[in-house]
Amino acid sequence: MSTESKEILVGESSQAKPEKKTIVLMASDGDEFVVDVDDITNQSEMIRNLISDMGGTDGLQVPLLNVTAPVLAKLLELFNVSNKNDDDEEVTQKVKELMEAELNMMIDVLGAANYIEATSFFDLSCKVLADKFKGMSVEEVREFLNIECDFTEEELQQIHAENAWAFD
Amino acid sequence: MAATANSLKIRRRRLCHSKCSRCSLPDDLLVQILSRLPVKSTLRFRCVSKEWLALLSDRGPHSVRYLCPTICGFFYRRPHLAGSWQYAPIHPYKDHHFDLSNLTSHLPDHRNLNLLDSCNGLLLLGCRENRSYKSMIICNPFRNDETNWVTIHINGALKQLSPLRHFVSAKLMTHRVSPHFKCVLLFEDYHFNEWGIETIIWYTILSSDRGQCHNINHLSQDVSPMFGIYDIAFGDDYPKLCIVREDEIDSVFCFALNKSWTGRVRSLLGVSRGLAHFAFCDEHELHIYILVKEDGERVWKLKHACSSEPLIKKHKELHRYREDDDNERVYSILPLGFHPDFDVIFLQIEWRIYSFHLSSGSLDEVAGERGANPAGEKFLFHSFTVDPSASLGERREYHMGLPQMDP
Repeated sequence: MSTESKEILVGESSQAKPEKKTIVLMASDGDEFVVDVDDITNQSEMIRNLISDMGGTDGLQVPLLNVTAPVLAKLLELFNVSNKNDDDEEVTQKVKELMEAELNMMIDVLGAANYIEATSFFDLSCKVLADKFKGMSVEEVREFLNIECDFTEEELQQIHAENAWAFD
Repeated sequence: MAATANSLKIRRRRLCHSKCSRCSLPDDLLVQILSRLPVKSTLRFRCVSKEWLALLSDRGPHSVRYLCPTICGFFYRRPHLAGSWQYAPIHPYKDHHFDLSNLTSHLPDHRNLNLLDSCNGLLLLGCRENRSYKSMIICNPFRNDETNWVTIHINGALKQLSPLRHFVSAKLMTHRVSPHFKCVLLFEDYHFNEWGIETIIWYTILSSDRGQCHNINHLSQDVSPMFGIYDIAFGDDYPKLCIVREDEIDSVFCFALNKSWTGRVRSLLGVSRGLAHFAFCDEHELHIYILVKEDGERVWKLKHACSSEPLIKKHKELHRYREDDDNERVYSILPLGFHPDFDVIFLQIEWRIYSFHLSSGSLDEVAGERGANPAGEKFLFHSFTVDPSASLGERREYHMGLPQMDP
């Protein structure tokens, strides 16, 4: 699955816009992704700073040690959506869909976005998750994130009593 | 040998990690998400697990509070004293008390600012000049970036009012989503006639989308200066202004309840969760009514009634140590305000402020001062909900003229 998505992405960016400047992102398992410089600097503060520190983009390879290939592919796919649309609606919808379908993938994407400092995308994704959590009951959150309750019954009752207002 | 052990350990940790990542968010991401939740959800989620409790509790090295000050509480000040407005939170982070001037020091002329009203995370501050106001500022006190306040310069300032008219109060109305605001300014006229002093209340509305205010309107003749004003939308786009005479409402209620009230009755109007609330109490009972729409009619319905006795008893337990100095004393409960989002009313007993949660009946002391209060004076009080994102768009200045003010 990882190689497949990689090829599509690489093919797309290198054939459709051959005249544009590109850099290479390396996922933790060594897979390489060729991306358009404008597209990625638009999103990632880290890469923007890196390029200005290096003084150019010629042959630049950025190893992303914390990000695996499928995650990076997903992240770049979402960046594409975000770059194509001026408003956040479309990409918010995509992030929502991803959260419903593959929560763990979404969390990994979130971590990757944080790592490469894609601030606005990170903000948006956190907001999507926060919106999801907002109306949930405690039990639903536990189930959603598969968290085990490590309180005793008395402890729970005490916290409940201290925060009575939050439960009505 | 050591190397093998080490690599084993690393491998085991990796395995562990990959197993856990199926179910849990890493802490740094979790904190980011929790800091974006509304207060009520974060309080509820203290129950999820010990780890979440540590992140969401009032104190502690891992507390999310330092990321985003989502708090809600109130500002209070003792009347007739030159003290400054104090902030007290009700939830969460109950130890987070401070002086309003800490938050307004970046504003122009901040030494002369007085809090006039608050609404949806925004404050209306008046800039004093000669016992009156020359301009007003609307700001979000928890964002001190340059762009987050607007100034209203009131042309021909309030000090140019005719000698028998004076400024009474101002009310801010904003919507959570729109950058527009309205300020209602209230004035009072004194007239001397054969029965003594008569007062007439006038109001005018400053509106950010219209720029100028054109009319000064007369409120009905018998509104006394002791009024409550609330803004409430019943399906219409903008809140209504309602002013109700305290005594009149009291008598209506006494009639409706078919009960004679003795002693001094205290009442309060306010908005909580989008519904108009009315509280009134004496030293025996506390009643709370809500205004609801029923068959196209607006009716006041009883929401909550309880005896004041357990409340006063609890207050005595907390603050009166000697029984003997206490038997003659009559305690009154003074309703101060409704919380805009929670099912909570703020009550004052002596100089202590309590939050009273209606459905669970729990009474918590949240702020106040020491000492007895035999005259039954009330704190000046504005309840406040922080909305970190509340903003008026950009830093702007409005120049608004007051309309012709000849009585």
